[in-house]
Amino acid sequence: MQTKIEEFEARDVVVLGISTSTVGEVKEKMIPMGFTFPLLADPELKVIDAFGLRHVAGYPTGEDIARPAIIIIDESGVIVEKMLTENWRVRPTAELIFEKLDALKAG
Amino acid sequence: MRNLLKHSIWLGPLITLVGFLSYFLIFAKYPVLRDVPWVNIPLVTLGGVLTVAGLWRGWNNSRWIKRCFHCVGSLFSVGIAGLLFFYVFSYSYGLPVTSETTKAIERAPDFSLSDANGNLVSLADYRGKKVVISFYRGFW
Repeated sequence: MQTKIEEFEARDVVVLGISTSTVGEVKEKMIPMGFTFPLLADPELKVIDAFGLRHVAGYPTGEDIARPAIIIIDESGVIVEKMLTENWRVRPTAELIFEKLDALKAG
Repeated sequence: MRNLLKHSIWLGPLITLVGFLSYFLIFAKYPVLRDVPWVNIPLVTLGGVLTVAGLWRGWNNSRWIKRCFHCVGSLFSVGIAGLLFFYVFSYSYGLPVTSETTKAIERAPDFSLSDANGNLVSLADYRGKKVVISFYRGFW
C-alpha cells in the first residue's frame, strides 16, 4: 500500500493504518520502514474491537492483536467493503483495492 | 551431477538456508512471490533433496565422521525446509473465523487514535472522502 500511496492520493482516498502497536512502537519500528500515511496506535484494541477484528493470542507471545483486514468507508461513513484474508501472509494488493474503489465509483 | 553430490554436504544446507532466509528478507516484500513463494519453496526443496541425495550416494564409501556431518546436514536441511512449508501452508492460516461484529457492522464507528507523532486522528476528520483502513498485526 505504501508504494502505491500516490495513487490513493490521486483518487482522493485517505489511507489509515491501525495496529495494537503503541505510539512509541509505531515511531520506532514502523516509521523507519517507510510508512508515510497515518499509522494509528490502538494498544487497547478499542477500535479493533469496534470492528470485531480482535485476534485473540494472535501474537506469538500470546498477546491479542488485530487480524489483517481492509475496510473501505464511503463519504458518509458507511462501510462499503470488507476485505478479510484467511491467511495473514496473503493480503489484498493495492491493485485489488483500486478495483474495488473503481467499482464503487461506477456503481 | 557427481560433483554436485560430492559437495552436497555443505551446498544442500546452504541452499536451504538461503531459500528460507531470503523469503523473509527479500521475497515477502513482493506480493506475487509472497502469496505463493515461487522462489523459496523450490529452493528449500532443492536444498533438502540435494543434501539427502548426497547422504544416500556417499554413505558406503564414507568415513564415519563424514557420515555424521552429512546426517546433521540432512537433518538441518529437511528441518529448515519443513519449517518454511509449515509457515507457508499451515501456520499463516492461523486466523480466527470472521467475527459476528465484523459481519454485521454497516457503519464505521467514529474513533480518535494517536498517530506516530501523538496527534489525534479522527475518522470524522475525513467525512466527505473515501477512507481505506488497513488493520495490521503490528510491526513484526
